[in-house]
Amino acid sequence: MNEYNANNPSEMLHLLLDGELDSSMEASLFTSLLGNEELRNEMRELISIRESVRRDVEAFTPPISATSGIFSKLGYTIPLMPVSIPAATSLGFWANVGHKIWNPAFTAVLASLVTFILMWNFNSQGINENDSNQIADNNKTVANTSQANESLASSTQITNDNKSGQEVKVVYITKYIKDKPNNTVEVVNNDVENTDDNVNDTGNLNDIYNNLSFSPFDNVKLQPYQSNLNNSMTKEISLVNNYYSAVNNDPALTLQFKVMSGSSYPNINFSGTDESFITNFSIAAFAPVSEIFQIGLEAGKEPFGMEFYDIDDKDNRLYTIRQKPTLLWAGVGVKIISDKHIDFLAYSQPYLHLTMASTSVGPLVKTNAGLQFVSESGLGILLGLEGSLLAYQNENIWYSSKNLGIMYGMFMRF
Amino acid sequence: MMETKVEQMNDEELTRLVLAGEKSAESAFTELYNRYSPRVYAYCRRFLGDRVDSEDAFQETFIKFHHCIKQNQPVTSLFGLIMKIARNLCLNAKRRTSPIVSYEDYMSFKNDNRTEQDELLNLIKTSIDLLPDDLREMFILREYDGLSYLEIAEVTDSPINTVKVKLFRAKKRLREILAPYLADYSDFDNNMSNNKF
Repeated sequence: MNEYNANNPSEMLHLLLDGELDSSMEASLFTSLLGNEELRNEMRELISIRESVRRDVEAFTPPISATSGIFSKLGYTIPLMPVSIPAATSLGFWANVGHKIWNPAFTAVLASLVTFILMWNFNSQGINENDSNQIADNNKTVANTSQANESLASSTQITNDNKSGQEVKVVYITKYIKDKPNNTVEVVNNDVENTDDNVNDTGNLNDIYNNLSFSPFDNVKLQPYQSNLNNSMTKEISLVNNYYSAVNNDPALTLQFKVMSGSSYPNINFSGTDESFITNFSIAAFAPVSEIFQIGLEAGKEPFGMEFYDIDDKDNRLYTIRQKPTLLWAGVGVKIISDKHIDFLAYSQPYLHLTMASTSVGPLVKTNAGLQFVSESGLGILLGLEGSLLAYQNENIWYSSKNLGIMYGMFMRF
Repeated sequence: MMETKVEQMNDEELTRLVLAGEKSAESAFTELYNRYSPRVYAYCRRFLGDRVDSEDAFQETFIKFHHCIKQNQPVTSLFGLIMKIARNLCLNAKRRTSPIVSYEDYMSFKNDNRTEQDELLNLIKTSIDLLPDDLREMFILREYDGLSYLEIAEVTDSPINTVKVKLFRAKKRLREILAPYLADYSDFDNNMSNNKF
């Protein structure tokens, strides 16, 4: 104990940092600090050590199993509230919370961004069904496509043939045709009807519009306008839309392969765990039920972080078991594909995919949402967010494990 | 009259509630547990090193503490009593166990190196393990549990001067072990201070 000398600046520094230095000695220590670089370094190092200790969240967090054990043995209800961490560790606590929530927070922000873009995109194309001018403006996109040149020519012909000199507004109504490709659309202009007896008024534009969910991007290829105004203003437009056929949901079998990259909650990490896509993928075959619904069979592999209690029969003690098995699953999936297309994202379509599946340990619900793009050849890609919820049971207690991450994959329509 | 919440009660009031054994005993004990369990566990965890041993000691501490309350023993400082119980259990556990690092602890250590600052923390944890038991205990009681020199002296039944000396030695030893890393850290810290605007 001889090495300790209360008048030594180094020891005074220790006492100061521990709040134990007599105030009468402070002045002496501060003077030493001013002129002693080594002492200042020592102070920095001691402060660094203390700050690091306060980030030792693991030491300040009693395990749930220990808490459960204490309260069980005392015959008390296990407290639901998490154990608070002393204020001294607040920095470490928040750093730890930040680390734990970055993934879901990032996902939430990304999902919000995608939703915003989608909403903005669709709202910007929002059709006032009573505003024929707006509908006509939207159809400029159609008119500007090279594939619609013939239709444009026809519309010009309509205008030239209009003996009464009335303006004829040709409206290409895409959704109506898309639903029934062989059907006809009657193009009617109320102004013409009022001045030309030959015009066969078969309806009001508003009636047609009201039955439409308009998307200008569906209408890519138009057939020539087949008649002229001398005979009738009722004209047929039949559209054959090859691209539409590919990107929408005409009856076709779809085979899909997708992969998820994300985190498991509870987050169990073991060094050397294989986290490659081989451990988290699925294959599926879908058949169309309706235009926007597909139903199919799916199977895959996915790792799940598991943390549960287990009572050891030998010593009757409660243990926390942590593991991350890769489970095989199989089930039924439903895919809902929007009939909207996003022009600035390669005409991709938003979709929602729900799966009810089963694993060897319990039921599994999976959902993913995102965008899909399909080429004319029928080959497509997927990108989105995926979440999985697994329920499992041990010692008659149900537990859950969640996976959340980015999903990507490809599919082929036949 | 408005009922006082357990969170607002002092240790003595909570102890009385636990002793009374009424319906509120459970919530009173839960409050005491929430108040002191992090620091008790920190002591057990860092003093014993092994996760399983520290959980055992931690559980046993609170069960014994509960029995002490039930026996209505006179207590001056509740936290002092808990720490004494924890210390005795940890010292007993220390005598029993061999210094083998469990696989779980090893994995926890390996995976717990997220940032550069955590790296320092991991080095400190390792350095704490290298300290002799008496110095390690002083360091943990001071830095993890935030006890004053006098409180440490009471918990360890040591003269206050011994506490001062041992603490000084513990920190000095830690600095020696961490010297290469702390030098870098100190340079980094200095640069950051100089670049402040």
